[in-house]
Amino acid sequence: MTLLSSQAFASYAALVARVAAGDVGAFGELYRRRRGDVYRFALHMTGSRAAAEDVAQDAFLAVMRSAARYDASRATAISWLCGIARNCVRQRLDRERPFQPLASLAGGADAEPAAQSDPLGELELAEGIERLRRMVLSLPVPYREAVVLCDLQELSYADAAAAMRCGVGTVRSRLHRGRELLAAKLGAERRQAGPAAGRDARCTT
Amino acid sequence: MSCQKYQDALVALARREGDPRDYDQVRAHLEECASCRRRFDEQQALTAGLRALAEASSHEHPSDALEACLMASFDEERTRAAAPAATRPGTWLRWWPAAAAAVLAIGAAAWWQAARTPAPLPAAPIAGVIELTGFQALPQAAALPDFDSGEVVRTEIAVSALPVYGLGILPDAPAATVKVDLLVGQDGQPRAIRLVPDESLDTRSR
Repeated sequence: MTLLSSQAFASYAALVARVAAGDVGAFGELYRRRRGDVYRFALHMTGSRAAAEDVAQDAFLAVMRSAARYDASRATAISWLCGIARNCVRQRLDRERPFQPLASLAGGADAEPAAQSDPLGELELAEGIERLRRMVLSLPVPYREAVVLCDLQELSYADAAAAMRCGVGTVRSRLHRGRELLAAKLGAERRQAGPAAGRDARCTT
Repeated sequence: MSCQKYQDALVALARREGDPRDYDQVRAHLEECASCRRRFDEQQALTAGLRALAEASSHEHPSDALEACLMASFDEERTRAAAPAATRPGTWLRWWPAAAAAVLAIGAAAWWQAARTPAPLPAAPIAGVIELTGFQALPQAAALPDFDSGEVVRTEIAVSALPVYGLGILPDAPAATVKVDLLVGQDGQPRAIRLVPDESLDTRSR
């Protein structure tokens, strides 16, 4: 998620206002600009493309129905949109717990083919990314939300706080706790991979 | 020196937050503390991994079919919101069978009640909204003759049928049906309606 200038924020607020007024073009524009963010947030939270598609649908249906209630003085349009997506994800996770992530997303039928310049390196990178993706999915939901919004979606603490309906301090502490858990998992995995790898990881000073 | 005070700054530095010059003190600490240095390296590796994960996911988008579906939904919502209730032919046709059944049921109930109760209520001419009791004249009642007496019949109707009685639908209604009081004339025709008070929250007249 790219960082937005205050002018861009203002234009998003205007876009939401036009959606509230029934402007179909504005809705289409808002959807095309932010669909990826909503979808990817849901994908990182659920680990399933089908679930992410459902969440994106629910979120944008909620947008069209609640655009009139959007208050630009309380949240940026982006954090409002992420907050809606978060609610949809939460409802889904509550309904379908425990959620079983589908097979490797990197190897999914509709995944883009990997570049072939360094097959072994690409494979190792893809495997590493896939392991990290699973680790993120294994985090408790509050920590996962903070990691996904702040580190994967690159929202500011303030925007993440608005989306998560909590204070900036809470976002920061959840993010740090989530990162600590991830670092611990990565460390444990490295130690399991072999004593040499573990020794290398520890001898860093 | 306690390492604890550097823990938050250490993560912030690993995430490359803010101005690098703000972290001079942290960097100095990392030079002399192996434990914090190890933790910082882990956090830095995690930052790199998460960025690679974000990058690998950046091509992920919902299907094109979803856009078409949402645009159609938006169009439908907009049309529904823009059309006044009276000009929506589909709406009235949809409600008509339910309305007819409800009116017949109400008429039968009123007739039965009237036959059971010989003493009529005091005369209560209806004119528009009866504010004191919270009753609202039914749209259909305008075409009926005045009546001298009637009684209140409590019944249950579908929330979706409320517009037929001149009431707005309750979007947050907890059930598919609501209890209503009907003021029924001695001729068995309902003249006015009110939601049973504890269920009348958020009621909007049209």
